Amino acid sequence: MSDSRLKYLLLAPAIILLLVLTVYPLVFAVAASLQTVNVRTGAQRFVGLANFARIASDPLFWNAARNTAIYTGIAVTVELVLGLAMALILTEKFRSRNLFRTIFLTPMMLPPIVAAIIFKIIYMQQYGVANWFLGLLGIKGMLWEAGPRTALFSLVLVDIWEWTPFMFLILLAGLQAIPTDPYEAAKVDGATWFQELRHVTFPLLTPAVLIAVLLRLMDTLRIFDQVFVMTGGGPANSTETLSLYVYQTGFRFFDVGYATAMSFILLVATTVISNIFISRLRAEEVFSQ
Amino acid sequence: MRKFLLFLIAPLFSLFLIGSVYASGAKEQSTGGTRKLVLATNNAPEGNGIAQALRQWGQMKGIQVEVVAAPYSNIYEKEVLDLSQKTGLYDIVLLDDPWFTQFAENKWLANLTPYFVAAGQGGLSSDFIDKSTAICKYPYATGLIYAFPAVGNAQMFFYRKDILAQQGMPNGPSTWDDVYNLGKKVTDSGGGTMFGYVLRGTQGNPVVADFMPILWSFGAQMFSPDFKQVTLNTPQALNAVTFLTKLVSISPPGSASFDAQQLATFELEGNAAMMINWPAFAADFQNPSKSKVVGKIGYAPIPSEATVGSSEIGHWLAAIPAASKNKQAAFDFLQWATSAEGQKTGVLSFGNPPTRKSVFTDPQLLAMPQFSYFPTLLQAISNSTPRPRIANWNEVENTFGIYLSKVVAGTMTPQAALAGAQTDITALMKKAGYVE
Repeated sequence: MSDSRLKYLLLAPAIILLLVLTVYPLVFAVAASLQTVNVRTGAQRFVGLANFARIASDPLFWNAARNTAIYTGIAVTVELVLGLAMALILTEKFRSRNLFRTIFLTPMMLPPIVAAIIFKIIYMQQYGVANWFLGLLGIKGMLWEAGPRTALFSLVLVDIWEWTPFMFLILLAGLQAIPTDPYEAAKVDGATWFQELRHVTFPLLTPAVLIAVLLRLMDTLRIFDQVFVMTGGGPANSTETLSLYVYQTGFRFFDVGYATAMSFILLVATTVISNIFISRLRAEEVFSQ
Repeated sequence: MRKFLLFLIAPLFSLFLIGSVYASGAKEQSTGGTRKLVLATNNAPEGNGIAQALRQWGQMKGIQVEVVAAPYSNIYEKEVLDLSQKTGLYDIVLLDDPWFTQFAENKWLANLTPYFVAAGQGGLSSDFIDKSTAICKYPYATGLIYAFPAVGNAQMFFYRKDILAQQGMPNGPSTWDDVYNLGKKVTDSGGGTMFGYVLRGTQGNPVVADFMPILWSFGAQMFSPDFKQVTLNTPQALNAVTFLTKLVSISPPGSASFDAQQLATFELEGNAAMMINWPAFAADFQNPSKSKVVGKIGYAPIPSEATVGSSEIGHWLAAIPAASKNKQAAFDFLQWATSAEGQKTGVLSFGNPPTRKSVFTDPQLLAMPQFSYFPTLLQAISNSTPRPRIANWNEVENTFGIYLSKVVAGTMTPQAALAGAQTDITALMKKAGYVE
């Protein structure tokens, strides 16, 4: 058998898996998004693009989109800043550095559901430690996830706690991969610590930053666990995210067509945003063409 | 050409491989025999009760059994997926009664009447409480039987006997006005740690379940009896939602995120005087390792206001999917599991409330302190109201829950919330074809 035939034979299982697991569901989803299911009879009816038109005028969808955008924006920004700071500190050589690296990584080991339950208990008004600590500082207790103005922020805090270590891990690896020559050259030129950071570290760290931010973005855009466990989307719909709304529409209200249409919008948004990052990564020559 | 053929053959070969693996799996299943009963249930005490009964039945009858258990939030999806695809994977499903209308209207459940007739019975035994039987029929109370009432939940009003006795109400408050006036006194003098009332305000099912009895007590209904009209634009409904804001004012801060468990915690810790909750928590109050208020909790029916108070009924029903291939065996099991003897076992092993009057009045059970709430619960179920029997209740409840959550969180006035709910729920009812 020639090499070219063998090539196809070996690729076949992967192609079939791709067809079965990715292409078929995608085609099925396109079909589903053009239909509506009657909750009383299960009857399916073709409605064309009506599900997509409904999205435009659905205040619940736009509220969820807004919450998701705020969640993603704050969480990823803060995680990047904190993760970068931690990585910069922990690349310096000092005693018990490895101990700190290990401790900083532990939150990431927890399943998100467990983290959510822990924080739900921490946030409890009467019995939780969050308000107890605030009390020690002489600050009046907060409503945390029970207040319509603080709920989303309280959920973001859980995300930051759990996922800053992830940023830290990738950025630390990125820092370690930077060769020492540019630093030596900078020293010879008499660069200050800040100049070294701005003109040597940051430019060389950009690929790692892009990858870390991209992965976190894709994760936060479909945030579900914390919201489902801690608030159910409330209070006053202030924490309902797109994933939760899609889940409820599809699996609780049985409105599969509309849920699929909304998933498509989310898929397109995520793909567009991801591709911006991926094209930047190409420019940085992380991916060879 | 040969290249093309190879291109075609290679995927086919892989497909054959996948297919043969699948077929060997399928063969393994079918050798299990046709007499295997599969139960889908939630993995809480209510579900564990029927699961244990099924295992026992399997041993007695020499039938293979399998229990598919999932948390409350997943079991609905599992059942809907199976039932709507008519896979016949499950022979028995345990379902929460608000799902019943959707399941029955879609013809996913087996009509049990012929099986009762074949067994020489007219239908469900008259020993079952009337309201428990009514929710097993489609249409409600008058139609054919599609389920057995397995676990007899309905809300009760929990109160601190010692505190209410001081105020001259040893048997609990009789009106919601009493609840507020007394609750306000307790909260005002509680120093921020003791509260007169604790409200279940989490958006979605929780806040709606807590509010429906209040809505009914104030003489309002969500729909006209034929479901052709949404009736949240009435003065009675406005009174009820306005009263909800008064309850928020005497509840602990953060009630917008409280669920049933948090309510029970407040009451167990001795930090709240009154609440609406489900009987599942009653046993904990008698347990000194969990409760600081042993012997101090009283149970009452829901307080009245414009009309006589009524609990929301929340039974677990056991039904047989229309696609099941073992309907007779499943029916025989359910007859046995919901018999007086079967229910008594469920009460003793899991604390699951029964649905039969004879079990509620069983002298052995009544003598046990953890079941001291039985007479109140029997009264509560007998006088209960079901959630509106509509197939799209999940979506209607979610919409109403968002508006109620806004009221509880203080971001919307009762007037605006009811106006919004009226419009949105009418739209949902139109979409489902109830409202023209």
